Amino acid sequence: MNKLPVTLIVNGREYKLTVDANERLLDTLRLQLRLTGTKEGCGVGECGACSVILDGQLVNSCMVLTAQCDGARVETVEGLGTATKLHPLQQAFIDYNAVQCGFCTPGMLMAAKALLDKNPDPSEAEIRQGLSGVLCRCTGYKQIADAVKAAAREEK
Amino acid sequence: MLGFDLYRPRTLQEALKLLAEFKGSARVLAGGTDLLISLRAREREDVKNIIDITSLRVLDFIQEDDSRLRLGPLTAHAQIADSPHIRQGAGLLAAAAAAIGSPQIRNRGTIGGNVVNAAVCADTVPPLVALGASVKLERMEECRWLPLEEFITGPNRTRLEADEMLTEIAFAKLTATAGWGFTRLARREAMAIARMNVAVVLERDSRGRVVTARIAPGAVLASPARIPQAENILLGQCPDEALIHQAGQAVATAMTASGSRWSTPYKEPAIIALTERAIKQALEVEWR
Repeated sequence: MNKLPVTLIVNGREYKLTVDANERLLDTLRLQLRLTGTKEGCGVGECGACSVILDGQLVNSCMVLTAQCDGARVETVEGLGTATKLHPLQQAFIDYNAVQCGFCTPGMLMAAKALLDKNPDPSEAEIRQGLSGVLCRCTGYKQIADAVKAAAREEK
Repeated sequence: MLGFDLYRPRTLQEALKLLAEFKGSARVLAGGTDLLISLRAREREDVKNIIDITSLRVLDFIQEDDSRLRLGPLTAHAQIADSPHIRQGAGLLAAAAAAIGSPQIRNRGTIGGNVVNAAVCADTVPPLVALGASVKLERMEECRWLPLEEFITGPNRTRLEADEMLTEIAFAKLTATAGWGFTRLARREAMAIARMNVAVVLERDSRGRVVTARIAPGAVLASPARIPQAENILLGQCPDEALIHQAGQAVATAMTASGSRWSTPYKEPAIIALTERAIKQALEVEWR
């Protein structure tokens, strides 16, 4: 198996890396860059826990090879806000109790960010569709959709 | 994940050269939504080399001329679902692309991958068959075109040779008077693989008689095809409820021609209803 050079811009910071041919973006983020906010759930693109924004598009990072991302911009949950200054989506998730076990939350936040980046004023149906690729097994969809709606209002 | 060597060709020529050199031990990687999963499940021990074409932007296009639409294989489902050209000239394909997986899958998965992977449940295939699509297959200094129905020969089987790559999908645009329908049944509304789907294109004359009928069901036949028995029921007629039901029954008969399974008693009425609804969509008749 070969190794390949890759330049990634993750949350605005440039990384020059060498990756195995079969290394997934998810593994690079978690294991090489220690950005463990992005979670691995199913590993087959069903659950969306590993969602990140790749060159402006929401993707499952378990289904992308890092070697396919040379020169790409990656946004992960660590890039959203800081401990002292939360992103409006993060604050809204807290305010609306949109977090239970928390495992889907990074994926939900990135799906919500990708949605609001493209559509700052989404309808309820558009929010549900935007979040449809992330599974929550604590059944918190209502609170999550409400939080996204509130964050959209906040950002306006 | 299986180990493999990964290549990132800069040009189509370079990619075709790699395919020719590797003689069947290589697979082309586009969106990765099917291939990476099967590699990770270690289902593809034969694959030693991966040729990543995601940076070959020359394969990512939607082009429209007077009569035809041409799609690059790297066009993502989300692009197809959102494209004004496709929505206007091939609305059923946009509807099918919008129904696939999740936003994440639609951003990454490509129409070329959907076609070459040739899963029986591939959502873009029935619309492409109903549109009469052909595929362009290129190898070093050679290319050929095949109708999609000839290209896909069975579940996950195609006529693609080891040194060939799918480089274009093309079809005639629907005329302004053509109606279309696309219906789909899955276990839930989002993020679910189609159990069955049906694509329909109908054209009618000024008196409402059907002059062109193309009915292509998905996931009910071993390889994609239109159902002439169903189409002939509508041709020359002004379809009413009874005739539409007969056409649905003809699709069910075609489905069961290859034998019955435990699921057939459920699938028969379901495919009839899906076909009826797709025909009614194409006729712009309300159904519930």
